[in-house]
Amino acid sequence: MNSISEKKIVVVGGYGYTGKLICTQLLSQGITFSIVGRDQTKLTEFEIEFQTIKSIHQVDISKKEEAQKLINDFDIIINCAGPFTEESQEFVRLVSLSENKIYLDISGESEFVKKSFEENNSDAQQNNTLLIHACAFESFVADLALQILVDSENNIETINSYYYFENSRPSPGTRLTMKLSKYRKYHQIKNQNWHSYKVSDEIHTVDFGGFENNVAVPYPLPDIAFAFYNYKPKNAMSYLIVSKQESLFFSDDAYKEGNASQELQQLRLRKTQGPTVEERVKQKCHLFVHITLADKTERQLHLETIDMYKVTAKAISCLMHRLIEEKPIKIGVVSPAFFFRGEEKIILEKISVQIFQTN
Amino acid sequence: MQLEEVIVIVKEVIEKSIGISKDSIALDDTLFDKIGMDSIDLVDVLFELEAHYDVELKISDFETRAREEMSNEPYEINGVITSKGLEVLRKYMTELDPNKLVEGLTVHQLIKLLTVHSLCKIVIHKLEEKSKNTAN
Repeated sequence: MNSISEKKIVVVGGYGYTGKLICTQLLSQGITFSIVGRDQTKLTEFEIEFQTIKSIHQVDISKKEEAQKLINDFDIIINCAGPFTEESQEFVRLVSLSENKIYLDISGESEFVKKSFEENNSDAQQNNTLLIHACAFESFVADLALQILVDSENNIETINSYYYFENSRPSPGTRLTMKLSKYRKYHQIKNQNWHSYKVSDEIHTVDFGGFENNVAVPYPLPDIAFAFYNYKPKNAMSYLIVSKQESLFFSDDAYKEGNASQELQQLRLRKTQGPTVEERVKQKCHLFVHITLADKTERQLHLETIDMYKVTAKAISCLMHRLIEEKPIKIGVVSPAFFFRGEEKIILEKISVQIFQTN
Repeated sequence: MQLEEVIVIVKEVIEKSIGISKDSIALDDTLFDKIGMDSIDLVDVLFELEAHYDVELKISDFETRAREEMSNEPYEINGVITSKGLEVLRKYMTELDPNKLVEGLTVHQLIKLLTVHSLCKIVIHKLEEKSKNTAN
């Protein structure tokens, strides 16, 4: 690859809730870029608000020709336009088949990331292209925590991550993704392979971190794919910590046959708003990353943060700085924490995540 | 706080969150089947109502009164509401279709029976609690 600093950068869906936070963060760090999206009105409004951006272009990345032209025109693509499963799978495939590209996204969809590792890694490597998925709160943080906990890659029995959210009103994009999750079949790692699971079989009592009266319900996030492809554990899963009473509202029959794209079009007509700045600073997350080694030794890291959407913006900014300052040391599908080996604690501090307690 | 006052806000919040006209919303409409919400929408509606009224609201609050009433007996076993639990729900949640409060009903299925009226009632209950706590 040539010098990254000379590369043309584009943010897809930069006018969305999280996209806007990311753009603000990048501009404040002196990183300039273009914006693309399918909504010309939002693009124009964005251009008026952020006058230092390079250019705006109306592009629908779910349309192959438009997507290919975008990929040809830019070197670094930051994709903030979820839901990724429905609209970015083909796009990422096209990126993996193009030479010398860098692609980042903020997906929180575990199946999307799993599929990209399976289908795009080999082609991306052949084409000297780098694909970094889920560079966002939650999975980037869990990925960094795992790197701190793991000192050998060959002897891990179990990797589990547990999230406890307070006041976590989702952004419109997150909400849309959550609503469409009913159309997806999710997997966990059991006996070193991907397996579908029954929610009720996986619910268990929490026995750590001051959450002892609560239970963990399966909540699949890209952490699982990062754990699987980086460390090959025997078992891996991510969970949401909720009260026993709340856990009863989770059901085994959540999966729905049907057309996610059709519902997506209807949902897009809604004019929903994300959390205000005041609400965001009240949003808090405790994250516990727990590993068990083959000799039954257990290790756990407890992290804590507020304003998780801002954490995502800072995470993208940190990664962009790294990619601008240095030539990428690995290509193919790579998890975001890989670029900060040995510097995990510094990066966690930079993105405002506190290491609360280590076992 | 009267139902007439709360319903106005609840309809406005549903309109803002779900995108359907508040004029098309009726007190007896079920949140899931009629209005087309799901649990994720409901969480957002509860967030809006929390912000408006400065009270804490959770999905589980719908059944909290029934649970409180039954401190000595189980309200549910493995997520299935007991006979006594159904009896108490019929007493407190008179807005629900009684024909659907049948043996074998799960806590998860109960949420699908909730109406706009149920939402108003939980807001009123929380406001009454808040008012009592302030008085104390």
